[in-house]
Amino acid sequence: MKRLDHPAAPSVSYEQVDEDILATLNPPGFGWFMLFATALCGVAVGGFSWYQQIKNGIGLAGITHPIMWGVYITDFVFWVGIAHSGTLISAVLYLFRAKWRIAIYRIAEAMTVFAVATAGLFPIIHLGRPANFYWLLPYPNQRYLWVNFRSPLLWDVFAVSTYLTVSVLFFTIGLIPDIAAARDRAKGVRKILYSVTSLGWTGSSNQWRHYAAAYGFFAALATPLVLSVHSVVSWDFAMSIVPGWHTTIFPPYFVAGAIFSGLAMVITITIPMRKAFKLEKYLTTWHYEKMSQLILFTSMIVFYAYSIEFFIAWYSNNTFEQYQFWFRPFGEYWLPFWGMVTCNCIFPQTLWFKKCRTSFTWLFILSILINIGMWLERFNIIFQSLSREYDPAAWGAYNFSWVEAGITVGSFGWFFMFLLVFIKFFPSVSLTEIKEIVELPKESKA
Amino acid sequence: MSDGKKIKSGYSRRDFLKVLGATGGLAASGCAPEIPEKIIPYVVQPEEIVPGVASWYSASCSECSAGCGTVVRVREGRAVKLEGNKNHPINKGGLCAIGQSSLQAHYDPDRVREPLFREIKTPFKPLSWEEAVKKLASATKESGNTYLVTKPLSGSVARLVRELVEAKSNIKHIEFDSSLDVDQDLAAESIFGSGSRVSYDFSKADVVASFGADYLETWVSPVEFSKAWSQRRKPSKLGDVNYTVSIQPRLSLTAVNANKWIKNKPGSELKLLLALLKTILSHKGKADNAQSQELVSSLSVDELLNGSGVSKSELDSLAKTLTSAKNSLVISGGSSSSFAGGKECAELSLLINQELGNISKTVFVFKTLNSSKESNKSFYKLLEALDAGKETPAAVIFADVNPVFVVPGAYNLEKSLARVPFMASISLSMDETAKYANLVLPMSSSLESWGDSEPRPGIYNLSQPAMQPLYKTQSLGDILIALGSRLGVEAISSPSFYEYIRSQWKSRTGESGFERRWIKFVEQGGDWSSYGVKNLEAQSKKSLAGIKKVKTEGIKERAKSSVTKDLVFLSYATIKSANGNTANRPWMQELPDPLTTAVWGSWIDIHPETASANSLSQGNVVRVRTESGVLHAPINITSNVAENVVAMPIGQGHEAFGRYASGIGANAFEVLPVSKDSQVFASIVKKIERAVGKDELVTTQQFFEQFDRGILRTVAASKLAKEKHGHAKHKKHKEGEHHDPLALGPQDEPKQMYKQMTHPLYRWAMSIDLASCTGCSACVVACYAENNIPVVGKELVAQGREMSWIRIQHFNSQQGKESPIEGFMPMLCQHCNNAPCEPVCPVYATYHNEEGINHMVYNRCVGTRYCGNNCSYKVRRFNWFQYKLPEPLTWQLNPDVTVRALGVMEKCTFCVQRIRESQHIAKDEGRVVKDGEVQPACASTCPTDAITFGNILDKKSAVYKNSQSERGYKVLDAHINTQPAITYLAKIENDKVRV
Repeated sequence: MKRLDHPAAPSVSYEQVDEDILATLNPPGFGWFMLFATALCGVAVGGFSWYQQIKNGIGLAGITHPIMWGVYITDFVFWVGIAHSGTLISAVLYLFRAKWRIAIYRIAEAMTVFAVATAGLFPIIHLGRPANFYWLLPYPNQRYLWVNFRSPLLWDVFAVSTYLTVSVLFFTIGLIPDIAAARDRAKGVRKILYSVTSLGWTGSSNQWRHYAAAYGFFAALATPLVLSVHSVVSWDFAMSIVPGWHTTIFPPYFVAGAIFSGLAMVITITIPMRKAFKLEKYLTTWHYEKMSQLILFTSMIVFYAYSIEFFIAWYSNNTFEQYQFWFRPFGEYWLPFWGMVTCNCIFPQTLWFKKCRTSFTWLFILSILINIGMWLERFNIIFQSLSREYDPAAWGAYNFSWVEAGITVGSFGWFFMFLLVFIKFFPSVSLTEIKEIVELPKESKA
Repeated sequence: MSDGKKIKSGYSRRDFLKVLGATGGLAASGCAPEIPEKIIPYVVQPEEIVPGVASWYSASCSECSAGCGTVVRVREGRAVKLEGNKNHPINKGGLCAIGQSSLQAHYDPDRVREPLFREIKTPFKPLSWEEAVKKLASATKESGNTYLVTKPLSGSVARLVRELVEAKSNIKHIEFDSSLDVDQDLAAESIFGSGSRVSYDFSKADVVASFGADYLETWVSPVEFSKAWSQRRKPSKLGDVNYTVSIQPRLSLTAVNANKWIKNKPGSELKLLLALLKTILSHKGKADNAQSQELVSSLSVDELLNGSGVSKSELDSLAKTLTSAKNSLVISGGSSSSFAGGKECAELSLLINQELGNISKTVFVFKTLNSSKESNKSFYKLLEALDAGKETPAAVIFADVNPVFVVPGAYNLEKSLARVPFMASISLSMDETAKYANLVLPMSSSLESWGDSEPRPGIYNLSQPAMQPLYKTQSLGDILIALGSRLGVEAISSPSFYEYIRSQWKSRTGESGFERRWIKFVEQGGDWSSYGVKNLEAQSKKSLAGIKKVKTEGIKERAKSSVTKDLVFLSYATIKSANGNTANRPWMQELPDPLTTAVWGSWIDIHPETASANSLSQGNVVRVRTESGVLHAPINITSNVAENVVAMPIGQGHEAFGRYASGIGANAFEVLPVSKDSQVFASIVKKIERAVGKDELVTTQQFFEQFDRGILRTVAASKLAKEKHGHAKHKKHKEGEHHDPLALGPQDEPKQMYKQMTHPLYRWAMSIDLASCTGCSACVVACYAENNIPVVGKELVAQGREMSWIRIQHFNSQQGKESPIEGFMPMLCQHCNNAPCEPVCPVYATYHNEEGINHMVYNRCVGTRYCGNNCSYKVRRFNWFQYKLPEPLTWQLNPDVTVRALGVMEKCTFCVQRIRESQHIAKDEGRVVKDGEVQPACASTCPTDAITFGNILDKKSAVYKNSQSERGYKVLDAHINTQPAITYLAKIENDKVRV
């Protein structure tokens, strides 16, 4: 008997599920090592660049007066954005019982955790005095120094650290039954590792009951964070009075943009993964169609937000705002603006067509284009606004430096390094939840 | 002790300090010989030196011939800051950018530190002063003349030289200063008789017409002129606003500040002056001076104006404006003297002034004893004689002059000097001339030596050493005395130059009670008791009576020659370059030129038409070739020069002189022709073409359009006067009514959503009068000096990383305005009551105090730079790197101000260290700080008193009155409710007079 007649449910047995998914933990091949070595090289480049920046001063970066935030904050917002869709998929869609999340939520969650871990580095990297980063934490001290709770940067500290904590907890709780399954098959060091990390999971009914309840609670707990984190990040800009930043549309606009870019990143990661690990059975075109539809939807929200900014600039009759929004499409830096519009608004329109939604090649290309577009979006917001503020005598330009490029490359290396390690050590597709939707095993006759 | 509490508490602070002092004393007295580093500097503290408390010494500025009085702030034996002397009759407290920067000449890391000598083609070797003077003396004893080339001297050192020259007939004295406008003096002598000099009072002139004279920048006595001029720019009575016209081929700072700039062709000044004289006479009917009538009778205005670039109607209305004004002033100099003929121009200006009745009203004539004004002429004669082999001197001594740098390229100085067997250079640093010398005698800076001067009859400046010499150096006076005694000159034998000066002052002011008087003179920095306007007026009237007949052949001759149609290379001095002796001062290299905002280098201004005719584009490096030489520099395309002119500032292109100067820019003197009578600053360009080169024009401001944002505002004088009648300017806004963001005058406080800051006792505020701000940038340099602002270098300025807390910004005028540039505006931290920077700092590194100051706590800053992004005025500067200064430039650092570290934000503090100092004094005296008691560095140096600072809660304070001015406005406040503490007063456009 089929337990579910649903496109999400692959027609395989429990054994087959274990077989297929735990095969991802087999000793890595040449391809994995090549990827891992590339990621490590990226980390080395980033590390070297950061070392140089600490040694010589933050001036090695291209940021300058009046553009004092640049690539680092762009990277920060970018990675926080990437981190977004993981929680959306795992928690929000869980509560909504959307079946298509089952096959992708694990990898999306892993992506979230590592993206937040990457994003969290940037506020420290961009500091003038990075050794003093902990001054942003409200810790009691003899000098009665306290932090300024009015500053959006401080809200950031809380928002991002809360998000990291909750998503790590949610992620590890979901992993427990799967690790136990891996433990039962593992030998040697892995056996010890999985025994410890599975926290004595035996699969008893009692454990399952508690597990399901806990998972539900965490999903509920994580859901508001999906909205809060990127809203708070957007306040870094919206709470200031810089023309082009000071706008109330930012929180929803940033959240939609984050989901948009996060889903694109999920596609970028899972398409090669399903191919390499032969998971086509579990990640079907149906899943990708669902993701494509969500991408199309968020793309249109983003498109709407872009348009409304222009409308409000005109409607406000605020000369500074108007100049800024004239400057973005027609000024000196028109290229990143039109690049953003093309990647985020025009290319995703192809997803109206089923042919595009079901073409893995196009989806892979599109997902990368979207992430380029979303990176450019943050870059435009940050540096275009800062380069044309109130006093024309203080307008200025910004030149990318090798250190910023190196650290950006390093952040990708850092992210993929963790992701690659994760894929080889833990099941990237949830055994537990897949088993919930596949055909039940026949009762044994004993 | 009855106070039980005190006993209980154990050690009091006082006791603790006593013990600490005693321990330190013991350590110092030898009980702990193993730790000599712990010795306390003042075991017996000199009475006048208190660690942590500054002493102030009067001195005078020796940067140019104006003779401004200064006071030197000394902390723990080191000079740290210069200010203008408020009591001095010339500068009245103002000090220009160059004057401010002279501290860095004193602490120049490349100064010569001991006497050096070398045989031909061998490296320099140090020697003792005794040997050095011996060598110098024996060289002068050789057969042949010895030439002593100095700057124009006055005071005791002039007398010393005169006595030396009188005693030793083989020693000849020549004065040389390329930057000096000797034409003024020559013209005064030819009209009013030998020894005559003129001075001007700009505060009395209703209309000023300047033919090329940059009286607000470099011409004769800029601080004095700026101060006088400014009184007529921000007048109490509106009818008093003056009207100034600048006639010159390029838009200088003076021309920007004029009401009208008339762009003439270079070399046409003399003809224009003749045409003006003729027109004035035809308006007037009868000439006061028959000679003037005779001079122009045979000339036709049309012919004179032919090719000058000035229309007849322009000249006619200028003449009309001048004749209808009660008092006016016509001057010429600067670019009028660029070509030969500067003297004749100056003569004509004086004749015009006579016809306009300005003598003894705005032009004063007086007699001086220092007559011989052959100056530069005799130096060039010597060069020619050397070149022709007519003269073989025994030795040439260059004292505090650098002819190798400033002599025009047309001279082959290298060859000429090679004929001199012995050359000595008395100089501060290893400049181009010293490099050639056999003997280099290091001179003490003016901060290390006694000196006096007589910039004008009746004004005797006295300068005392503010600190011990840094190195083994001596003053010029002491060197001459030592030389004299070696040569056995009785007249100048004196134990020291100090004694010599004293004897001079004693003989001038009399024996009796001299000691008491002397102390007073030293304290106040000189003696100007006999100087006064009444005296000047009387002298001028007397001179007017004794007016001479001028030799007019020169004028007539030049009137016939036609104005050149060729491309002219015009070089000019700027507020940052002088004649090149500021090039090794990092402040002056990094100070943006007010018009181009260029730093660290040279550039050539070129008209767009000329540029396109030669197919050149912005920033191209060009090769300029003249008869005399070649130079390479980047171009700046601007319509602020005449079509047939390329203009270039002088002062850069040093080959030696020090680490900051050498290799920067190009030397404009290289392409200048032979000078006959006076220094020539222009040349005919043979070819200008694109060259291969990397030199880059680095500017600090790139955008000059305001887009109606009302940042820099102008108000028409007629409009102001009208509104003044009504007086009920302060109109209430109705609820919901849109206010005009460009409205001037005090505005209603908008309805605030949140509780506002309160200020119980003080609220420090500033007002900046744009009507009198000339853009001279003295405030910028003063701020660098006071606040230890790092200099970052050309490469980092190109990246936008300059650290200046004040920027002088300017905007182009809208179409149809008379001046192409609307004005200058110092932009610094506005200390907003509602500061956007404050709430965004996550660690409270910036916050508002209850005195209205927006503070910056460097130690707490982690460097998120959010405050900088959120600052609407963009005045926060970030330390992108750790900037280091070489010794001894570090000695100049103000001990009251933190030197900032890498990664922290900084900005204007309203000189909080000065506020605190005054508050401490006031507290000791049990009172509040009085108005005018605290002056930030920018306000105190401002030559035009454009900046006013004080407590705005005090309704009697000057700053409060300015804040209520009908011209007042706060930048961006109407848009973003930042509530700045700085009120800008709109510039006044004089629309009542039109030329």
